Amino acid sequence: MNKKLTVEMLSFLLITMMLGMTACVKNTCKQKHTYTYFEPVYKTKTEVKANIKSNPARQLENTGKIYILGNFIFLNEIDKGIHVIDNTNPSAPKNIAFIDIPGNVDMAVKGNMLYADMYTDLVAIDITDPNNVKEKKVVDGIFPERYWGGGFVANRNAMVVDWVKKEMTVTENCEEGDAVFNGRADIFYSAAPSNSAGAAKSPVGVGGSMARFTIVNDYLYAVNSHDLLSISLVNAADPVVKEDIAAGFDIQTIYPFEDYLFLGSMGGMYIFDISNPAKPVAKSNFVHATACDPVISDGEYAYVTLRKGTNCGPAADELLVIDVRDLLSPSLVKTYSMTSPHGLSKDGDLLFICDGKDGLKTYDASDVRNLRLIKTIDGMETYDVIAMNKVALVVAKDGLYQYSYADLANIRLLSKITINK
Amino acid sequence: MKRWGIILLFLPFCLVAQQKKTVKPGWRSIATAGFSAGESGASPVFQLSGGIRYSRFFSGIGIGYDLYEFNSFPLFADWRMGLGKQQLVFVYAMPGYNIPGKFTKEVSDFRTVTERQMGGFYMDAGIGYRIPSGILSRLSFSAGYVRKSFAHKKIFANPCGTVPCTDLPAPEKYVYRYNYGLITTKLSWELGK
Repeated sequence: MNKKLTVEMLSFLLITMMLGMTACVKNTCKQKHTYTYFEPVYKTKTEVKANIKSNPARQLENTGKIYILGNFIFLNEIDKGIHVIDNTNPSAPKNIAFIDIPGNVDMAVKGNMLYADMYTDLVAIDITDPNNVKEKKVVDGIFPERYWGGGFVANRNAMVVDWVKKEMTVTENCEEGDAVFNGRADIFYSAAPSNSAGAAKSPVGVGGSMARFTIVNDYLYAVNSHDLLSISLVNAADPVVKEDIAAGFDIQTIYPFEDYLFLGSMGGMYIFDISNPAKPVAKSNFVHATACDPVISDGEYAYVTLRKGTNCGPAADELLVIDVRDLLSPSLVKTYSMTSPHGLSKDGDLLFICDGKDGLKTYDASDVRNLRLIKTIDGMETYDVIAMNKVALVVAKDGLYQYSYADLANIRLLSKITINK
Repeated sequence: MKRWGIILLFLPFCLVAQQKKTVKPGWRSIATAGFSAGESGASPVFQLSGGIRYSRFFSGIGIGYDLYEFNSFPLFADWRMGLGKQQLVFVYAMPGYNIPGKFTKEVSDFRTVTERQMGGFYMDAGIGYRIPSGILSRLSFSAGYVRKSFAHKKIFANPCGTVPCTDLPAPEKYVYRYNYGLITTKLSWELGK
C-alpha cells in the first residue's frame, strides 16, 4: 500500500513538475544601455549678435584654426568663437579677449576687419580695438552646409550656442530595441558635435594650412566641401558674395599663392586661377588617394600631407611634394612617409610639419627630392603651424606653443598657453 | 561566499547526521552528457562532478560545459538524494554559478569595441533513475529544469571625429542580461560507492 502510494506520489510530482517546467522554458533578455548625448542650448539670433563683442578672455579648451595679424593671434575655439591673444611679446603672450561667435570654425583677417563664419552666416567684425570689437555685418545663409549633422537644421530664429553633455541609462527588453531618441531630433548621441577645423600677405593676416578661409587682396575666398566662394571686400564692412563655384568634392583647405588658390580635398589638390579675383577659374587638379590633406605651396612646389583614419579615408600617412611649376600639369616629385601629418607651413627653405603625436618636425627643404630632417620636437600632439618671422606658432592638443627658430641649431620654446581639456 | 559554499556543500549530511544507522561514507564520481532544450532549440551539455555519498545522500562539486546560446562553464554544488529502499530513483539539485566564455577586444580605425561576458546564477534540478551496472558503477537517466543566467557587456569607445577634440563622450555601454529556462535530459555514469 505504502509502496503504491509512493509511486503515485512520485508520478504526480513528476507530472506536476514537468508541466511547471514547460511554462518556465523560455529565454528572456533585459538590455541596459548607457550612453552620452549632447543637448543644444539655444539663443535667438538677436541675442547672439548682441554678444559678438570683446568679452572677457576665456581659457583655451577646444581650439581650432589660427590666424595672425600684426601682434595679434586669433585662435578659434571650435563652434564657440575666437580668442584674441596679444602677441607683442611672443615669450609672454596675453589672452586678452574672447569674441563669442557660435558655430565659428573659420576666420580670416584683413586690415581691421575680421571675417568669421557663424554656422551658415558670415559675420564681419571691426577689430580696430581688440578690446572692443564691433559686429559690422552678418551675411545670411552663404554657408548652407553648416547645418548640424544628419540633416538637422536648427530653428531658423535661434542658434545653438552650446551643447550640454548628458548621460542616460535605459533598461528595456532586448527585443524592444533602443528607445534613445526620446522624440528629439536635435540631440547627438556619439561624439561631441563638432566641425572640422588660416598663408597670405599683410595687410591681410596669415592663416594656417588647415584654413577654409583666405584673403587675397580685396577678396575673401571660402571653401565648403564642394564650393569655392569669392566674396568681395572692396567695402571691408560690407562683404558681398560674387561667385559660388562648384570646385570639386570633399574640399577641406584653401591656400593662396600669388594669383592662384590651392584647394586641398580628400581626393586631390585643385588649382584655381584668380587673375580675375571675382571669378576664380579651375586650372588643374592632382589626384591622390583618399585622405585628409592640407596643402601649401611656395609657387614651385606644393606640399600636401595625407592622413588616414577616422573620417579621412584609407590612404597612407605621408607627405607629397608636387611640382606645380607647370600649373596645367602638376606632377608628383616625391613621397615621404609620416606618422599622422596635419598642418604644415613653409618659411624660406624650412618646412614645418605637424605630425600628430610625433610632434613638430622641421625639415630643410632646399632640395625637395631629399628633405632633411633638422629637428623633431616631440612631447605634444600637434595640429597646425604658422611659421613666420623666425617664430613657429604651433597649435597642439595641450596648448598653443611658440618656438623661435632664429637659430636652427637651437630651436627653443618661447611660450605656451595651456589648453584646458 | 566561501562560507556559504561550504554550508551548501555539506547541507545534506546535516540532514542525515541524526540517523541512527551507522553507514560508511564513500567517494563517487559522475560523468554526464545530455541535452538542454529551450526556445532556441537543443544544445549539448556536459558535466563532471565528484563528491561523497553518505547513506541516501550524495554531495559534491562539479563543473559543466553548456552550449545553449552562449557557451558557458557552470560551476555547481551537486546534491542527490536516493528515494525508496533501493534508491534507484533519485532527485537532484545543482545550484551554482555560470562562468562565461569569451572576452574579445576589437580595435579598428573607427572605434574600439570591447565585449565581455559576465557570469550569473545557475541551477539544474530534477529527477532520475539509476541502473546498476556493476559493484561500483551505475548508469542513470535524469530529466530536469535548468535556469541559466549571464550578462553580455559591449563597450563602444568612439573616437574623436576631428582634431583637436575634447569632451569626448564616455564609452557607450550595452549590458544584456539573459535568463534561460531549459528542460534537460541527461545520461550519467556514476563510479564509486
